[in-house]
Amino acid sequence: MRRGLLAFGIIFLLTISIASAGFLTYYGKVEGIAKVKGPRFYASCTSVDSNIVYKLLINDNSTGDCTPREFTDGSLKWFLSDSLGISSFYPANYSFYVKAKADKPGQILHLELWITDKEGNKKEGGLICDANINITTNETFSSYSAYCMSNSLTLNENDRIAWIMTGGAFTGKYYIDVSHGNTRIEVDKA
Amino acid sequence: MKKLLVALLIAFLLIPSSANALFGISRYKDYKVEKNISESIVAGETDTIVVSFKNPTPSIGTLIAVLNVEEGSGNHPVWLGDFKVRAELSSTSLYEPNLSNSYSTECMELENGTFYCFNLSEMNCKPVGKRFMVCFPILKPEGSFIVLPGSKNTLTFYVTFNPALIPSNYSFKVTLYNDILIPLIEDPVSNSTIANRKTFFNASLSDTLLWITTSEDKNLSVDVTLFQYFVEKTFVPKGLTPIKFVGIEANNTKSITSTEIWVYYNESEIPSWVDENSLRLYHYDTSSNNPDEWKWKLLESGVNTRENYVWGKTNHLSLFGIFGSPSMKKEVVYVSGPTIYLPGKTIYKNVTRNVTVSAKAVCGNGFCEGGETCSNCPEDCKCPAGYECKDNVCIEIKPEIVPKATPTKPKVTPSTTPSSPITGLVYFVTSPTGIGIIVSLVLLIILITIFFPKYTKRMK
Repeated sequence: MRRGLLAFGIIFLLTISIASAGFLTYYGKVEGIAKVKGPRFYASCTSVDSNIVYKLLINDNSTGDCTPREFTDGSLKWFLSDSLGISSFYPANYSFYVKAKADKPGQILHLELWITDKEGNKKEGGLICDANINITTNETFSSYSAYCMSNSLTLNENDRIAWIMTGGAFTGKYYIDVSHGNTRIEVDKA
Repeated sequence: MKKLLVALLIAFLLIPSSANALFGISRYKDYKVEKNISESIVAGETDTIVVSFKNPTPSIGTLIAVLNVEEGSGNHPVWLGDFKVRAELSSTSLYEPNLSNSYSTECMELENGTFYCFNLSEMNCKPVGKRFMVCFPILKPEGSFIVLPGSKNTLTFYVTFNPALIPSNYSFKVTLYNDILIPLIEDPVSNSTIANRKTFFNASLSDTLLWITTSEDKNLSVDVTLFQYFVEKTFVPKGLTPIKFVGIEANNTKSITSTEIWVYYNESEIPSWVDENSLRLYHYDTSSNNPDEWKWKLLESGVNTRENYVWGKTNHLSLFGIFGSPSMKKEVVYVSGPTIYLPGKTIYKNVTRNVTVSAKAVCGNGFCEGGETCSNCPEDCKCPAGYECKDNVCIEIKPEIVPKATPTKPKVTPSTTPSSPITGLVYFVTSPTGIGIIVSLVLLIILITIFFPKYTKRMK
């Protein structure tokens, strides 16, 4: 019995050593599929210039935890991105998500998306698209959304994007909560 | 005596197994995908693909990684710059003192969505013809893509998605080569064969025509791949210049008894110093378990310089290469040259110079070199069976239905001469598999005789 097992083992080894001969042109392959979504821009707590311009973070939702940004009609809030490093952009839908409240229900918040130059100045004809949000809450912050669409864009690699919020001719205050990525833009192809 | 015989047998059987384990068919072992590309990515982010492998061999290995990205729907082809890819290799010795080598490189996007991850700046590359480039690695003690001997390795690809990348599904394929060739054109062809008759396979996309004979009727799928690069200097037979590489694989190789291969070339692919008449087809023999013993072997082959193809005959499919030898070559020779006087007291006498001299063909070295023909050196430039040598050229003795082919777009009529079954048997018996099976059978009989003597006596 023991001899039989030994013989079997030896024959097994022999079979393996012969059968494992072969020809390989490569030694490893990795295949995978990724579903790519459009970029996201997050309004952040980080101030760039006084209390008007703040950073618009690209794909980074670590926007910080800060007191709500507030402004009255006639003044602006800018959220400015770093240089995009791209020369064109496809026709896209821009979804604006804003967590906000207002002094009085029914105040209109106007949202504009602009292409700016390296210094952050609006470029001529640089309005990508705009949309309005009707703020209906005055005590608690609520999430609002609006959409706009744009044709393909031609850019310089140093160009930046500015998300500009203005009041809609009301004297009341607007309060925007930018903490934890609550206020952002999501992009998808049109 | 019986015990000694058994011990010898066991040792004999264990050697191939242990050699296989030690050297491997591929240089690298234990290949594992540690992390694949994430299923969902936001454009503008960076994601990673991580693989690990071991180099169990006692020699330094090279590494080439190719990443190919394609868009799923086909509506948005990948453009140059849609992705940026960086590869980082960390190689740590498995043994004391556990040396480590880490190297990072930006992968080069030579075609849209195809990235070659090795540092071309550290390669000595020369164009061969219009479509090929020969590259030799300049190995440095540090800073090169070197896989240390006896090492565990982690290769990480950092893939950065352009923020302007159109949202869609993208497929990623990473192929790792420790061999030397990268596919340029893959050309799958299929046909139904009739037993013992030549069947034509038109892989003209990859400049290749095949006539395959099988021992039985088969539906045969053949993958013909035209390759682009090679990087190991030892890969090239000494004295020969590579022209073109073609890999041929089939779904059922067991029934194939013979294959005739024609590989077309363009005259612009032949460097000026190579003699076109010397072009021959070689087969890369990987039958040894030790990769260091893998080498090119000359096939029964020849060249048709009028229609610009190299033909060869073989009984198995693998990697094939066209090589030629130089008609003229540059050599550093010591000549009793002029004495050069430089300002000051320095005097140089008999200066060594680079000069162009006629290549000396060595008849009998196994390579059909420039100046050698089937007439003056049949040993190296012998005509294959069915051909005879006339005026330095191999001419077919029994003309079959000869395909009329042009170098750019060959049109071919398959010939249908049956091959001898004895030839097939000889091919099989002399092949590594055939030899292996015969040796196994002999050993099996000896083992049964030793371990089961009673049974064999009873048989008698």
